[in-house]
Amino acid sequence: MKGLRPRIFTVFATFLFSIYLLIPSWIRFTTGKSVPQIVRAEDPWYYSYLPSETLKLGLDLMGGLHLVLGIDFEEVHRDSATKLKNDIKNLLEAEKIEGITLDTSANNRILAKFTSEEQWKKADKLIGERYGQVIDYEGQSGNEARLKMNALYESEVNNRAVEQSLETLRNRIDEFGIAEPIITRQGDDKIMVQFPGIQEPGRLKDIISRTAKLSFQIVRSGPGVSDPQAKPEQLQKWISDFKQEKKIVTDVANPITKHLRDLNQYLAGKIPAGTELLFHKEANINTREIEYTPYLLEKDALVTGEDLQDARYSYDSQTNLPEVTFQLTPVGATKFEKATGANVGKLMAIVLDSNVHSAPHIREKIAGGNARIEMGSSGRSADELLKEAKDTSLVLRSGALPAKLQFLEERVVGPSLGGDAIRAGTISLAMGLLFVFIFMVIYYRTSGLIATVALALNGLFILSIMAAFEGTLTLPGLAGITLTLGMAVDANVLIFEHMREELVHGKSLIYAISEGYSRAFTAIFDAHITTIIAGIVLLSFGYGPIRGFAVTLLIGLVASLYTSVFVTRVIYDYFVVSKNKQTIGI
Amino acid sequence: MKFFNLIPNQTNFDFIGKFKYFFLFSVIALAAVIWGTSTRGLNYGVDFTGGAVIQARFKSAKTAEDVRKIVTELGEEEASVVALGSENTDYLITARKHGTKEEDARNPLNQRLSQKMGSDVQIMSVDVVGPKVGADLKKAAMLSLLYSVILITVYIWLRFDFRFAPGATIAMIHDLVMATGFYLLTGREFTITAIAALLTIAGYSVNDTIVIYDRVREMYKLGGNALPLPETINKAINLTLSRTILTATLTLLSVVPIAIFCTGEIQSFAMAMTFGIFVGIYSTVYIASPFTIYVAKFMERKEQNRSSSRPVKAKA
Repeated sequence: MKGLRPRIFTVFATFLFSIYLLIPSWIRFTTGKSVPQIVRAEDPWYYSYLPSETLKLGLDLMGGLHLVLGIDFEEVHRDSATKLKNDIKNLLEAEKIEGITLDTSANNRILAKFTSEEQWKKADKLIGERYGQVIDYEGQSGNEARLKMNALYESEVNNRAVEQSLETLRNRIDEFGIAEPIITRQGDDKIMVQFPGIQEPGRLKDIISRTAKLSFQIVRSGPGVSDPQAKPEQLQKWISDFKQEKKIVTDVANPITKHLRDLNQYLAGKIPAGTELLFHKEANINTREIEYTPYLLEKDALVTGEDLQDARYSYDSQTNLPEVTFQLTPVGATKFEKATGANVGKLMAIVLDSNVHSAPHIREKIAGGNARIEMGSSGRSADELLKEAKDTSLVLRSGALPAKLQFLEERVVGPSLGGDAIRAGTISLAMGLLFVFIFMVIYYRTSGLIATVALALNGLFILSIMAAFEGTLTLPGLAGITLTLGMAVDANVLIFEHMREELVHGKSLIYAISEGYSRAFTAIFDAHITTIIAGIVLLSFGYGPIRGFAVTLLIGLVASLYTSVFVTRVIYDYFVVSKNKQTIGI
Repeated sequence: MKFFNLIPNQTNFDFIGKFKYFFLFSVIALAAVIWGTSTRGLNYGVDFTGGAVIQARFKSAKTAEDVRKIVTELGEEEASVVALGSENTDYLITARKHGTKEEDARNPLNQRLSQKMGSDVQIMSVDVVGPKVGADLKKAAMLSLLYSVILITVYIWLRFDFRFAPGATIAMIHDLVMATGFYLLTGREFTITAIAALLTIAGYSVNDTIVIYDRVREMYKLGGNALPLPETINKAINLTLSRTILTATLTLLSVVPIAIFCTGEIQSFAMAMTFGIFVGIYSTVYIASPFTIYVAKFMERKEQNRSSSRPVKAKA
């Protein structure tokens, strides 16, 4: 048989290489240490010759928290409509087109009210030139034109929102200090997060779900200021009207802040254009009850969290209570200085996630770009306040989410459960394999042993390829391995049965081997391909556990073609050709 | 040379002859499964329906009735409560709804339970799936089954013969429906893993079918058209019989320990697989092969009709 030496070499090379790929995983599972990507001085010398990729165990095998998060796209669209509106406003100001007021509607349309048709024509042309790619003209009624974001831009906005959320989540989780989280996109609009080993999801979920949107907005009406169109008393009356009309009873579990969106929709047209109603939350010192004070704010912020450079927690020098101090970027600081200079004497609300934290007086223009948020007392202990200050500074530092994240799926797997599952899984897998080995050796003798060696190699290859690609081994993944091993055994059974047939007809061993392989190959090939087709379909449609199954199935099938056909043939050829054996147990 | 054999070499069972009875049996069984699925419905897991599965450990022993009362008070009236172990402290709670109040949707049952019971309850594991995710998954699962069947059919059509594809497809669908029947009959949870089981069963079934078809293809190549197709297929089934039984035995050896020792979804998977292996053999021998013969005969007749009608036409 020609070319036996290179084939033997190939088998040994692949065998050794897969052992090499599995060394880091072996180190990790036995010592708990992992081989770093950049080797440090204190590491053993051989670390620099090893890959850093290891096999990972899925949550079902080691316990942990699994979350699937969705994004509130409604909020994203509202924000991007507002941003577009502001861009257009700036554009019109720069081009000195006057007499047009812009606003956004509840269904995210940009409304342009104009006084003269001529000015609007000019503006419309300009908007068409600059924003034609993203904005569609929807219609006009009287002297009000409606513009809307087009579908292409909307999907672009959605995509960006998911990307930004991923980025922000990575930053936050990184700062929170969790080892080896998995944060990936799932489908078009979801995010999958896995934290191995995490059992207490409370605080982590809290950090994930905070939007961390910071803004500085001018107060139009509230304690200390009064707008003739919306006096504080009037605000209170509107709120109680709203509650009556919508039959909402507020209590501790159902505060008015839960209905902010509905409330602002209800107030549209009543409150002055370009304003919104938010609340300040504070515990009454005497009654200890939490009170919500309404503030009417200008929607357009002086500065937002986008201009934030850094945020830290510290203690107020006078009250010694925890607070968050932050620093704006140079650009943000200039903006802030200009805006505060133009609004001296007014109140400026510091708003974090639609909650008015404080609303200090602007006494003079503020330079330098330093500011702070007090945590308020709200009748909480110093410990709780400090925790809030820490978490708030963390979420501010790691950036805002484009919108609130919704928890669509949540799975916590206890470590004991994982332990039991892993034991049962391993034992039954090992038993199954052992039975197959014994059966093969009894039934096919030496040939059965050859097939068994090939099977063991197959398992080794699956694990090493998984390790090389940092694959995650899950329980369904183990099932996938079992099944491919079944397919691999079947391939050998097919070959052996063909060989037996030839031998029964009195053919020589060499002839029987060669015929056995070539006759069985078509069936083996077709069977593998059809299962590979099913595996690919699973991989492209499936989620989570299904994917784990499909990945091991696919890797295993490819490995099976190699081991059960190529490797076993090399072993046969070695014995028959090199060792010149005339018979072999089959 | 002597071999260790379980199956005699020269079998000659008549598999094709009794096709009608088996076909009738399968049609009745399939109809029953489809009828059962549409009326009684599968026991869909929270993967598909959305909801919460919670494994909770209570500090003090409780009866299942106590736990059900607690859960009902939390707004989950139709939750199932199953005791785990014999201590009466561990319970598996499955709730398909997302509470009765609007805000419950944002506050899954495990949180409501912790809020209510405080340190009296320890949540061991949680699975919460939102209703939208469930619907998405169901759709993705159905599509993946559909696409797999279509693609495999196309492949067989390309690799073998146009006549061979329908038989394999019928057998595949047969096995998918029968395996669904397993979940229907046992009432085991139909989850994502069940979809994996269905697909694997279908894969094995196609594998079996392919091995027999491959034999037929080989016999045609070697001996021309010595035997008519029914006899050829029958002979191919007999020739591959030992392989069919061996492979089934080997797969069973690897799956049965899992069915015995593991619990939960993986156990269901292994049980469905065990069932599916038998169904797969049955469908290959008694459904796919005879069906292929019928298709072949039908095409032959059509061919003859065409060639015999042509001269008549030409004369007229």
